[in-house]
Amino acid sequence: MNQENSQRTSNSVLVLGGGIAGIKASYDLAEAGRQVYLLEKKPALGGFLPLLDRQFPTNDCNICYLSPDADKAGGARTVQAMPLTKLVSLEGQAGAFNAKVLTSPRFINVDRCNACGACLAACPQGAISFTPGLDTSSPTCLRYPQATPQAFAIDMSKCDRCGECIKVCAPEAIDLDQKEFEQSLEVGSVVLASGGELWDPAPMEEWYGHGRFPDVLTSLEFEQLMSAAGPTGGKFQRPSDGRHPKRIGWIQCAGSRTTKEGGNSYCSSICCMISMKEAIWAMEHFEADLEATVFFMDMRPMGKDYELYYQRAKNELGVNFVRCRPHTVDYKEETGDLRMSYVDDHGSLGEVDLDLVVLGVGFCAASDAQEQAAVLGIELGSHRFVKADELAPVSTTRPGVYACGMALGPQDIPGSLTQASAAGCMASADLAAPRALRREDDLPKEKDFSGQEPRIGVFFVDWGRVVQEVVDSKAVEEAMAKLDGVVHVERLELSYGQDGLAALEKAIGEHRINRVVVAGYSPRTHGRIFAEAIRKAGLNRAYLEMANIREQDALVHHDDPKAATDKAITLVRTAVAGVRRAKPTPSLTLPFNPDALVAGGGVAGLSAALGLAGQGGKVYLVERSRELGGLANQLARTLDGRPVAPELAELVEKVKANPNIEILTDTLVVDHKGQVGSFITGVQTGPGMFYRQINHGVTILATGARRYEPTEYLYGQDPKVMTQLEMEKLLASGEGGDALDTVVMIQCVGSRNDENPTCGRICCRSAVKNALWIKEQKPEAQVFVLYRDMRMPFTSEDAYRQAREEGVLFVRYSPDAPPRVNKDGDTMEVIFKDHILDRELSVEPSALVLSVPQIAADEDTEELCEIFRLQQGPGGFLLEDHPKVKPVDTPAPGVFAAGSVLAPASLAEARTQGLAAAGRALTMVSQMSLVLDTPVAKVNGDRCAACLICVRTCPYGIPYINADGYSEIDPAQCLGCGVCAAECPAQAIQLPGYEDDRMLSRTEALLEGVL
Amino acid sequence: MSDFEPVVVVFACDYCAYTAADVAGRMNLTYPSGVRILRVPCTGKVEPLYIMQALQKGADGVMVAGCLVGDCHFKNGNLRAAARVKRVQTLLDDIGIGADRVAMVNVSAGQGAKFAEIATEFSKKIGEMGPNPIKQGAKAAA
Repeated sequence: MNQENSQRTSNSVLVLGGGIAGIKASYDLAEAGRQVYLLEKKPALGGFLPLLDRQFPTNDCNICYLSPDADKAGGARTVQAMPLTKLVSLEGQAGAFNAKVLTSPRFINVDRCNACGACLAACPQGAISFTPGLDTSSPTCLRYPQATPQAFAIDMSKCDRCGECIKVCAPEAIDLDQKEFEQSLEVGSVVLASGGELWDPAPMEEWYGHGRFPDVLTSLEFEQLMSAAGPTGGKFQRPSDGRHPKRIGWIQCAGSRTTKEGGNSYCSSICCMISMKEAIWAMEHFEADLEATVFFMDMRPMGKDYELYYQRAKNELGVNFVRCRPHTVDYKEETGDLRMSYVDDHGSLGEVDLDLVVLGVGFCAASDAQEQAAVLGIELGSHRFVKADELAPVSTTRPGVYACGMALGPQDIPGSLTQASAAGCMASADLAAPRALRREDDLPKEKDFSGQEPRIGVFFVDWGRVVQEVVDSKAVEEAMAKLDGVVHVERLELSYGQDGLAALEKAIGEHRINRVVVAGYSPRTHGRIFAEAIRKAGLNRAYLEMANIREQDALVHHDDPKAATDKAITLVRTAVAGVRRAKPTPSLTLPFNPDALVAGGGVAGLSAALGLAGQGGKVYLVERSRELGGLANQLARTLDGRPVAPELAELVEKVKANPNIEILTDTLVVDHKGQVGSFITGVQTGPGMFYRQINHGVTILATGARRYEPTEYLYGQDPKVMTQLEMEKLLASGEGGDALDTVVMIQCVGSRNDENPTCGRICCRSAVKNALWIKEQKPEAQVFVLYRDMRMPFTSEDAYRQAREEGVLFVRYSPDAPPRVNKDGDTMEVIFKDHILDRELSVEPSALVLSVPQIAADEDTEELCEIFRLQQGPGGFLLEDHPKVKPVDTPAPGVFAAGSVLAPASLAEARTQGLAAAGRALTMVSQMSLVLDTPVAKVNGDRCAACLICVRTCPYGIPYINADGYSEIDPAQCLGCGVCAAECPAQAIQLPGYEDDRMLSRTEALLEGVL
Repeated sequence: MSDFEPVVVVFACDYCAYTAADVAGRMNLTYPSGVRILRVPCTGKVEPLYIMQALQKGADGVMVAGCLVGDCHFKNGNLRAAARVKRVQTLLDDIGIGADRVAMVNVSAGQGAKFAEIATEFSKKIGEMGPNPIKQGAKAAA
């Protein structure tokens, strides 16, 4: 971020890499009114995501949850996707870069190509490629092509210009004489999102047999094998002999956490989840009698609530987990089985026969990482990933160049998206102040249908295989076409993003449709997108009704296709009945207040405040305590071992010096009302607790978590027992290190148990950090770490290895036989079982250190949720809008969250999330006005008897009796709960969308044929 | 009555129960297909009339599903709904349909498993009670 830069005149950002991170950064920036050039080396956007059939932890395909975002708010217009293009040079500095980019010829004119696939079939040399998809012969898996729908390209090194493709191409799109071309782009900043690569198991063929035995697959190959679009067309067959596999083994850490040549020393962080997802999926969809076994060293489901997913896989869904060190995979000629040998937990050799082996391979840096770093002028860190710091997690070594996604290290999707929003926020700060946008102005005038008969269009959104396997879509479509008022039934390919929505808009015009039913997704996730789409076609947004045949039908009744199909018909019929009576809702334009409220002055809140300051309006930073800095004030060292205090002090200083930030310490949030664009939050501030109201347009919640106060292991009863944080303080003081002859650390105290089933996420790393620090102060000290799984993601694995090399003893314990502490007078002994020796050991420690998690600050989070009308998730932490695709958004529009209020977070995560929340908020702050069209209660003055019931029942005290003697409800304040409408004895109040006659129509349609 | 599959109408609030039902779907949990969900902004919008109409049109049971007590997105809509359900239950006992055909339940947005469990349990309970007597009346009349 370069606030002093006088050259902040550009409004453009260059994004390198069209995977999920690059797409997210681009669309966040575009929504905030920025121009984006999105470069992708390959012929199509998408990155890894389109290669996956579905994703954890929801186990569905989330492409359709993300791609429609692309179309939101016209943001797409300011993203220029440039496939087959790479950066050649980057001159200049933050705020004013000149980028030279080179576009390779595609040999297919994308404006003409209709992706029919005829050329692919005709080409004798196999020179025509199609991305994405491993299997180039299968254009049916053209699943995420909205940026470049015509994703075909010709590989000239294979082409011998035979001209076969030209003959079959009806739209005459093929041009074998296309040339590469270079252009120069002026941009203010750069976001590097060029991704990583899947580890290639070839160097370890000797161990794993991949390449030698056809039935040894990588996780990605397995995913393709299961995919309907894959090589076997969805038939579950093993590659060697087509046999239906019944025993599948996943080998974890294939090529990761190893010092063997050809492997990577770090932990790839996400493979545990990928393998579990595949195992669960295989069990659910293919075989009841399938034996799915995961062979692992430590299970590391590290994301928010991923531990619960693991427990479910193990305890409910029947996936086997075998803790071992996998050794080699061999092939048994006589049976055709694969034999895997391993060393088990007790150190003895085990063997198992399997039909199919899946390697849980890790990810590594892109093969051209060095070349790209040289062009960008940035440094790479360990393992050729982009170098970033704990407190500058998305910044590179060159100002104005930011990074996100797998370019920084192996990453799951929520992590990538969070970094992308954070990088977008940083990149935006190098640009000129954002121009205000007026979105409603670009839309066509709403058509007036008053007095006209309903002409209903029913649109089935491509449901994905999950739904198609269950629901007979044809039967549903036929049933709908017969309904009264339905004039058009069509299937939309939503994964085509803008194209699918464009088809919807076109059909509305062509068939003079004045009411729309969309059958497919939940209105909660997709309602907004379709409402905008029909608005673009000139329909009032209220002329839409959604039938949720995905989440509330196909996904629940997957075992009963007939029932699911019947229910789909019922649900769509109900939506048709409802929409038939829809009335337009007038929209209300309000000015958008660009000021922001950030609650919480820890690292996440400080980052959010800095991210927003200077990019919109004023930022009010509210902190409950007297000091800024939060939990980080108690930390001496970062997880990568550097001192925290100087960097934290710098962050706090920056916030204090920023003229756009008003800091309110000793301040409590007490109430909150209004809506996005015009929130009013009441606070009590200062020693006198004076009440004050703050007007603001967006809210970021970063109120943190608290540390679990252990009751276990004599904590508080013996001075030798302490938490990791207390140990850290002791070590930082420089005193006391000498007395540490024997230190025992116990992991998972207060986590992964019945009371708190979630994983503390960072306690393992804290333990290793402190263990190394003890060894640094007193090399001869004996340190034991009693653990269940050491969860050391990415390069912290290197620290874990270092700790073992320096003599720290890691001893695993089972939750059935946890360590015990005995105290007799002044002596305290810790007794634990060593799995390898298979006997109990007893140690008299000079310090017993408990690794306790950050837990949701119970009452505080509860109160926060009450004030901001939000929800708590399973662990008590704040529930985000969508765990996968909206990790820092909350369900309340204009309210975002960051840091440990969401889940236990490291400093880097808190900082990233703070910036990401700011980046997300910027997409809204840029709006000059806010158009409200959510349903608000309407009073019919003629029927109103001024009985005051609505005045008394409204939870917000909004209705009042006006000068004309009837109840009036301010549409700008009403939140649309409908309580007044339900209570009004004269039925003088109606809530649009839920009018009494409309509810009755829905009920009737829902129960048609029951009587 | 073993093959009787009850039809249950659920008035689910947008913020909690409806979302929980979505979560249940994404978790691939199952509940009987006779459970049919109508979305409302808040259970505070569910009027006694809606419940009565659902029963009149042949629903064997009706669930009003809102946020956890104390967690209502609109402060206390779920408490109002609970009070209305109580009133309707009294009425249903009076007219011989049975109070137990209607229930107020509370789930939070994240409780997909709880939603599936409640839907299954309620459906089972209604299954044991047998069909809504109104159905026989309707058949007799036809």
